[in-house]
Amino acid sequence: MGTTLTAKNAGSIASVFVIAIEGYEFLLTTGLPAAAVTAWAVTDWTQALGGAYVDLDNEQSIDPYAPIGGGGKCVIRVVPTAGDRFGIDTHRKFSGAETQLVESIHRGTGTLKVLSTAAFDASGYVYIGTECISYTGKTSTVGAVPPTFTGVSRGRFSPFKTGRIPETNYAHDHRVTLDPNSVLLQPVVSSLPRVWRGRWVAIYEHRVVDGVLDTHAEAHLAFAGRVVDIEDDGKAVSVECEHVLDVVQSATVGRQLWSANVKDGVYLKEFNSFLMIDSGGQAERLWVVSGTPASAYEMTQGYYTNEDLHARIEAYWAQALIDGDLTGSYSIYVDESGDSPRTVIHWSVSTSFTFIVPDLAAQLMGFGELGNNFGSVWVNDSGNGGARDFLSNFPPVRSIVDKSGIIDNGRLSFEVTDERGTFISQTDSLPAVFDSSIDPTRTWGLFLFDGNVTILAAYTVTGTTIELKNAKLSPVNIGPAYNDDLTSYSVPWDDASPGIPVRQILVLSAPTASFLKLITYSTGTVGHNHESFDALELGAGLAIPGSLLGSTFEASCDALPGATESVVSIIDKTTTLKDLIEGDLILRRAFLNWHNGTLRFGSWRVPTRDAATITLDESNKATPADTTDDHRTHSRESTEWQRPIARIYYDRDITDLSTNDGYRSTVTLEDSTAVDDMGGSGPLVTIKVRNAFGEDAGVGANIKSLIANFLATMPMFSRPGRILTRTITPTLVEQIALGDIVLVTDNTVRDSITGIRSVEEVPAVVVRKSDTPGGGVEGQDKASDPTATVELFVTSFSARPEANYAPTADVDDTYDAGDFDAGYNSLTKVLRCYGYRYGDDGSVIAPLFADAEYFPAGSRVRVTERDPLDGTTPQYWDDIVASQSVDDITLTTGLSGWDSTKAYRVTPDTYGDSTTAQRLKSYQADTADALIENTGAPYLYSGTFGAAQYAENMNSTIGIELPPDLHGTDGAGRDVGTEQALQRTLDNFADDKSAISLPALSNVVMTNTTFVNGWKLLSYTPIFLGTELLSSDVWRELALAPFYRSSDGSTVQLRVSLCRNSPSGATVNTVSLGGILDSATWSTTNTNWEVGTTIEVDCRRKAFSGRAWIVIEGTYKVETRGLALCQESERLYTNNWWVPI
Amino acid sequence: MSRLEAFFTVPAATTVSATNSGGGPTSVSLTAGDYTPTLFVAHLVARLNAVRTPANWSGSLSSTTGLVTLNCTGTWALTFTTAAAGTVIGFASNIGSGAVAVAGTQNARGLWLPACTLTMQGDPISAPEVTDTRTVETPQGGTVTLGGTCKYVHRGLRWSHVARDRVMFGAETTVYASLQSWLRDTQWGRGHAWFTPGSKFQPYWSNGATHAIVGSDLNAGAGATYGWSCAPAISSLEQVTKRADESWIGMLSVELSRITSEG
Repeated sequence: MGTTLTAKNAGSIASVFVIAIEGYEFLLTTGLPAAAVTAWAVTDWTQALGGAYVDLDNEQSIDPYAPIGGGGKCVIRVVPTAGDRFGIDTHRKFSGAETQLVESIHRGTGTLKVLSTAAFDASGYVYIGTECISYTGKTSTVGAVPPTFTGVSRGRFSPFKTGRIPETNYAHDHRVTLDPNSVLLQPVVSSLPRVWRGRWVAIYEHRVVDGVLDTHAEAHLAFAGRVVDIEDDGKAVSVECEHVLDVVQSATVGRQLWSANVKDGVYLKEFNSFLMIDSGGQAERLWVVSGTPASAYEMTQGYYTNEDLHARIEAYWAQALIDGDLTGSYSIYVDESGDSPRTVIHWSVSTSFTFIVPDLAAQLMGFGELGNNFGSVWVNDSGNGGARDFLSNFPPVRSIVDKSGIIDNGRLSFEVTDERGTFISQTDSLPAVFDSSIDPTRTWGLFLFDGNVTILAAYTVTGTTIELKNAKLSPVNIGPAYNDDLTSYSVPWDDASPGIPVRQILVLSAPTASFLKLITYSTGTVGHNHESFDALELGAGLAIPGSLLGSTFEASCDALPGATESVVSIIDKTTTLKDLIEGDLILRRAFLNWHNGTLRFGSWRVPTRDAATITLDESNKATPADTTDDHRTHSRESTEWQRPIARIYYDRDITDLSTNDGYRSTVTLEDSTAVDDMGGSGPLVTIKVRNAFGEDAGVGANIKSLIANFLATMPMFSRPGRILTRTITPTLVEQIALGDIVLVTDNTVRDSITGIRSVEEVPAVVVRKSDTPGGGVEGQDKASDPTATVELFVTSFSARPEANYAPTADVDDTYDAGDFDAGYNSLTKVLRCYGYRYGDDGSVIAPLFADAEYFPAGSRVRVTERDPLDGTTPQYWDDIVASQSVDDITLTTGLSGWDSTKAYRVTPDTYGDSTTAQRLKSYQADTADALIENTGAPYLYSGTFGAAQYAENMNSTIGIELPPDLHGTDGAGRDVGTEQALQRTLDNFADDKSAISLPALSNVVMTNTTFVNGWKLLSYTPIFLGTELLSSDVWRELALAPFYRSSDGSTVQLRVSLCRNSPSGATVNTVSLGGILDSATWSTTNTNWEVGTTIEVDCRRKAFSGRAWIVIEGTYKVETRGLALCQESERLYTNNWWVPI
Repeated sequence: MSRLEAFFTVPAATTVSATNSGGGPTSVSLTAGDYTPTLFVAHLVARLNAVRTPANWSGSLSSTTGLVTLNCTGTWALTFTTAAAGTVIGFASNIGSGAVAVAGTQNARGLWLPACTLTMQGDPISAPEVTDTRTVETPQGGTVTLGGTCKYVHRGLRWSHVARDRVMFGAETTVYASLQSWLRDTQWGRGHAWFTPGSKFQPYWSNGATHAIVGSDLNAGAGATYGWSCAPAISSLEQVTKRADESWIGMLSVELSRITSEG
């Protein structure tokens, strides 16, 4: 019998609300409880309570500068029924059995380890936070295993499920924390529900037919949100809920990011040693040992602060004095009395001393210069009698961070302490630009070190020791340049901070669509909420239940402008989602909204007639029947969003957030005419784009490309707009979404051309929608009235309404059936056109129209030769469409002189010759008077984002062409076919014509006649592959084919490698290749010269400079003259971007 | 005669102990659930007959006196192990061994006998529906109607002449027989523990010689399954009573302005 939503959209409906609260075993309903239970028969719920009243105020709006708005609110009032069950359940906080978790559980954990299970039933439900968990058994303490609930089923009574297929219950994380920076109250496990705030709430509207409710699957999800407040006024319990849009708006990411302190002091390694010699003799060496010291002349390998080191050295000297090896008396300390602190060796009795100190210890104490690693430093002094002080040449430092010195390939390594949060491995998820910097067998992350330097390091745990190893400067330009050697990094003596902080910076890299899915789905339990997109660690995602997202949400992400462009988001601290992506969404003109029971993204579009989905006229205004309303539409010219100047901040430096929140670059966009029209000044909008960097950053969306999109629709908001406010019938509430384009026909609204009341089919954008369904009111017999209003945005930056491109149909030049010849039947005057080259194929916008269907009977058309040899003299005819059917256009006069060797395009005739209906599309003006054929201003079409927009770099089978001049003349239609032809040609220039081709054949035969057991270097040469940024989803390949043979008929191999650096080695045999990007190998026994099979190698990981090296190596008896083919491909594009599993 | 019978909730583990010619004392458990006095007497007798055989137990609730009478063939005795099970039907103490019918000493709780004819605004046979139906209207006269929930409402239930002893607690001739006692028990939560504030009830009206339940056309003649509620609540005796004759205090009129039911 259909669904509630279908019935609701169709007209009058009888319905009741059924409310499901997360973790609560009773449904609430405005109708009869038994009927609700029946309707929810296949769910967890088997019980329901009546007595609910729903006060639902849906309120959504879109704002070009606030892309994540709220969604209204809902208050559920529950009068006491069934023994006041709901009131008791929501207010009983300390009843029933209670224990605590002793071990954290994630969303998939199947056992609950607690302090005690004794007071709990043998089976049943337990509650932790907002989650209800059923169990079938329990154990007591067994050995070291704490009491446990077994047979656990998580997320019982989940109003929203996960996004898995099939869907599963939605559970939560419950963390047992030992972090001293956390409140150490562990999760309570109770036999009765205790926590209500934060529970997810679903309010379903069920149609009622003859007392029977639509099933849960057929019902309409009217509200989704979470409990924010529970109130009891002595008569009933009120549950206030926030809308899921508000949940998203305030949600944070980047919680629990890993942080720690670098261990203070200096790390002394095994085999380091100190030696003291004075005028009386030479002490034994003081050795650093890996184990427990065996004597006073040994010290343990590890970290030593200055204070630690001084104590240990003084003990060494004292022991040497006791042993009679030294004669002098020595002490060591830091003197802070001067302008600059110095380490002082106070000595007496002897007449000279020499103290040999390991270099890192010497640097710590100021005896050696930082960064100078000579193995050891000699400290000596001499003098006659009396006490003397020897001062270090340099100030001591608090810490020498590097523990490895020059050992770890010049990279920084250090141990940390005071670890907090959870380290998130990003080995597999760092942007491609990092790939050459990491060893994939280790666990990598990006860190902010000492609040000053961003480093890329491997996180290593050995027993209880936690180290960051192999650290190097971040290859991504997100902080200030740090030019010194990291291994010499030290912390000054006067740095009084509690520790040297190091914390992880999360880098999320994915195409925009995937990024948004990852952020919204991820719960921290991989795969819990979605098979693919629940992949980020706890705190890195929003954990919105998947059933609120689903395929609709995912499709909306995919349809966003720039959905395939990469986003690299750097999360350096707890951040609201709003702050994280607001700038990106604004630049993409995108917004989040709630419609038909799911979250989805939408995007601003220029209102055009063609894009309209519904007509709003008098027939669908509505007010409560017993009220007096004149049904007038309110209209105002609004400057609310008018921002003729936009200042965009980007290129954020996370190490200097105190200055302008870290943004280093700005660009200001101005609609100068709009500013002048406002009297010379206009309001400014500031847009901070966290995830956009400069062209040379090597990561993320290029700010230039984002700005280009933004500019295209800027006139919508740089000039005043008109806002119309009117009512709509309840039937339209779920049929109209924010951002939809509607046609307004209203005789109370003034026309912007004539000034007279009455407009007809003016396109407008729905920018606000509010409704309340009304319904029963507690204690009253009269129901509250339903109301619904919308606000509509009409642009006024042109006196003429905006319009779409003029249509195009390409004649099918391959169609020769019957009397057709290259797509034209001269006997019937019928043109056969290609079906869906420029129209939509129906997958995005229904209904489906073939290209030819945009030229109905009566249309005036121009049939023009495509890609003529001479653009000034193309062959063309003007004609009138006699009839039209599917892909066929029947002409009135016919095309005399049809040339079947050519291809043709059908477009509208010139403006003057076109029909009135055709003139609603875009036509071109000349530059002389900016008027179309001297008659009127052209339509100001603008960038309209959407899934159907032309995507650059899409491989096309149509081919390139140079459009004839008459497509660009005064009065010509601005047709979509010519626009795309130009775009394809430009694409071709960028993707094919500019690709590198570097065949390199030598007149000298290069051969390996000496090295039998491996590869011999035969040739290497640099190749410039351009500085364009390639990524995991847009890249090029290099097609290679060698010219080679076997000199004696034996099997020989030739290997060509594309390398980041030039090869190195002492000989040409088995050289060390400089970072192989990709390689290919050919094999032959042919003694005649041949060109090897073409093999494509991946060249996206070239150096920033664009340079790479082609290295040719061969096995014994191979001969080659080099590469017969070395051809870079066009840019390649895929949807197979990185999706973490 | 018309009457009001309120529902009360028998808790789990409610028992009586019965002795009769078949033996005893035998513990008889009563089924937890919601009962009116009439339903409870019937349930008690049924349980006694089921458990303490031979099944010669009988019981009745007088529609004139409000007293419950229990009996069994031969010598019998009944101990209200759960004391509330006795007090709710007017037995302030256990029934000792004997061979005769025994009547309670107090009016059954939740039962009010006004000894007066019930009149009301609507038809007592029916249960008038009140829905949340609402309509919006377009400028052109089109309408969209929403609705879905339904409740049943009666107004103006009136007993025009009720003797003072059936209204005022202080004038009671049978303990708990007054409207004031009924309100204390069933509406205000100030009386017997088995009632809750705002307890639902079944009104009966005189249909010729028989007593018929108000709204009997619901549920195939069975009436409202869970009874009716006073809405708005009765917060005082004064709210529902006034002198039938201004000059005399012996007779009062009682009016419940509005009662609702979910059917």
